[in-house]
Amino acid sequence: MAVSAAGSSRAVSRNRFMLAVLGGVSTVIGVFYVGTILRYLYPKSSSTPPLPVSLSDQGVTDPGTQAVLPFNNGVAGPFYYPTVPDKSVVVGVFVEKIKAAGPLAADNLRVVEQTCTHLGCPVAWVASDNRFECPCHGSQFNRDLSVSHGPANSPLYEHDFQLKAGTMTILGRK
Amino acid sequence: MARQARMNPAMRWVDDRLHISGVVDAALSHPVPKRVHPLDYLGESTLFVFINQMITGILLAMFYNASAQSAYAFDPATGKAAPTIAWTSIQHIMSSAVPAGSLIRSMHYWGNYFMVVLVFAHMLRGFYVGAYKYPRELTWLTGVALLLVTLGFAFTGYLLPWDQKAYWATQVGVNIGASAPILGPTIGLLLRGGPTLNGDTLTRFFAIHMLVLPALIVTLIGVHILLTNIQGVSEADGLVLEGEETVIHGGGRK
Ligand code: HEM
Ligand code: FES
Repeated sequence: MAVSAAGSSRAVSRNRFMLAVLGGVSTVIGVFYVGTILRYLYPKSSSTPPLPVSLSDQGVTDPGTQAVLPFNNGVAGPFYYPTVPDKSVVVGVFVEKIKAAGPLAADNLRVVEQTCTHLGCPVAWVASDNRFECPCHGSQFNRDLSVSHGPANSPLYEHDFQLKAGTMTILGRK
Repeated sequence: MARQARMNPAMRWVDDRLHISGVVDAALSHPVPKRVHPLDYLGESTLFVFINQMITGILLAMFYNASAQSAYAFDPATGKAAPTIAWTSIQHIMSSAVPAGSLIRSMHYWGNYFMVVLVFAHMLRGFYVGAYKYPRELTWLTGVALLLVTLGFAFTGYLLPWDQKAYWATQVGVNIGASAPILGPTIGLLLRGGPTLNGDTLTRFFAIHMLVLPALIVTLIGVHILLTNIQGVSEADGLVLEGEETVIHGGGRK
């Protein structure tokens, strides 16, 4: 290629100009696509929203009467509350009486999420061992939710809740 | 053309128009050295199992229904969880209502384990004979991608039956990814499509298993095989073929 006049060798050739334009336009389109895809795939809610759970569904007719959940050492078997309606997203929680013999009142209750703090399997309350145990990798948690055996290294989650006229509203992790 | 003279009329008709017999010959009838080890066929074995996965997978998709909706409403009286449509569709495949359904499903299920084991064995063999060295680095890299895609198939497919084992195994698997520093939580949300594992996760995994990964793996297998075809078996590097004067495929192994 013979470049004649001085200076014109510095000029951008038609070819390179078109390439730059094409590259620029494709980059803009590409960024638009990637952004839209991420926007589409990123879920709208990233935390479990509070949903009311009727305790009567769990066998509680009147919170005052105590004739209720099959409390075992004060811990009721886990029940599941939907976190996103119709999506079958469920989180299991234990409703516990802080004092096993005490009344079924808000100040004597505790809501503990069933999710193991290791990798998220559901723990079970094992009354005979007086602790929560995870089926997946054997983590164990004391009644006070602290870890008694790894691999988990943080306590189970407690949930905030409200109790009104037989309906418990679970407000999410404390 | 000499080559065309050897062909049957149908092949000659095609070759007249497309001139592809050279490519076909290079791919299918190139010379291979006598001294090939049986373990050099682990790649072909993996390919065979993949073809099995493809055929049985497409057949499963004819009955499988990736919906986490319950087939009927939860009955608090019995306390029994209501079966979901996804789970029920697999029970349907496994029942006598679908002839050979349990065979097809089992072939896909066990084929998955065969494929993962074979891919690993194939990689170990390549490592042992030094097949990753010059000039086959790119073949090795596409192989690594194929290993990851295969594990991706196994991971996403495992959720599809939507039973307890599938659900909690995936919960653990996604949470391992989600516990990575910085990007972890975002990866978790993108994979799950929500704060917890839910029906959207199932359809997401289904789409990845059925659309994204098959397209990826077919492309990668194509490139991988093309490269091995160009470069030949590494075992044969430096060997002189009977009747040939030259060393084939340049000595790559050091
Ligand atoms: C190439 C490697 C592949 C691997 C490793 C793989 C792996 C798996 C696994 C582990 C399962 C769960 C099996 C079970 O529990 O029954 C599964 C299910 C399924 N796969 Fe694949 N798969 C592969 C390819 C494909 C392809 C190519 C298709 C279709 C295009 C496909 C379609 C399906 C379907 C519909 C199911 C749900 C049915 C079921 O779970 O039995 N798979 N796959
Ligand atoms: S998920 Fe509970 S011990 Fe690993």
